[in-house]
Amino acid sequence: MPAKVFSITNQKGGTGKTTLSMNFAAGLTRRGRTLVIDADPQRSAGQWTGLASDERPFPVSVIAVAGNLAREVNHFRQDYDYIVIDCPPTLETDTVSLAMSASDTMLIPVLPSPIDLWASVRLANAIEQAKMSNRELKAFLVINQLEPRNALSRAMQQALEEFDIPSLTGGLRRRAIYRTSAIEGVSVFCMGKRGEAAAQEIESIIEELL
Amino acid sequence: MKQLGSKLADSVRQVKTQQAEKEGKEQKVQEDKTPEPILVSSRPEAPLPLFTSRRVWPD
Repeated sequence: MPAKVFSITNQKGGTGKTTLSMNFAAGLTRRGRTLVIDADPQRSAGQWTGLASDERPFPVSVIAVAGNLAREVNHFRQDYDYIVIDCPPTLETDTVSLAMSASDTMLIPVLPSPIDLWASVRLANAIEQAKMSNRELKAFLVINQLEPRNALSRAMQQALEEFDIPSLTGGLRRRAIYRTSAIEGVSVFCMGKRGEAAAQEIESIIEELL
Repeated sequence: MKQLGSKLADSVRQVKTQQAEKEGKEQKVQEDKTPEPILVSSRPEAPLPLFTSRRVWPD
């Protein structure tokens, strides 16, 4: 069965694309063979695995792709159960449109801030256009760095209803463990007790999608 | 809290409208840039052009 392809995208930087990509992939690899395609020229996903120790390598292979993304995805589709594409923070290159054409699902991490929401409007339009050629394409907003006690975080739900793209019930809270795991080159699943709550958030997202 | 939610939602609506207007303008500019097709109309009623060539043959 060909791999299910997920693209993590947002044209705005710093929304947590790589954090979501890597932890999401680490969760998926517990279910099947998983590959991360690092399509971001910043190569953050590659840097993440580079920080892992030899004794505890990152559980998912990461390859960097700079050329024809769709062709590379097709090349690996039969060898994996899940492919996660970490997209660059731009809509100005072909990469994201190629990712949209090759994906089954787009995940768009958004921060609970007006500026991040406004930036997502253009991406939502791009996804609507992509659906014309890839009719099966699904897209979901994933709220990242949610702070339940913050009024703006709580107000997000109403604003998200303005988007034509649905948001996942599960989101990611603002937790230091996401950053700590990156420094150690591992996922939140490897952080023991400290990573339990974060791992549960990632699991909820996976379960909602699969 | 509810007020903040409405404000945020209003701001997203506003950005959506601005984006739609911008895309509409860009599309119009693109259309304006497209060169007019050259119309080749045949006018059967028009007389055929008469080419008068005077060739002088050498004797």
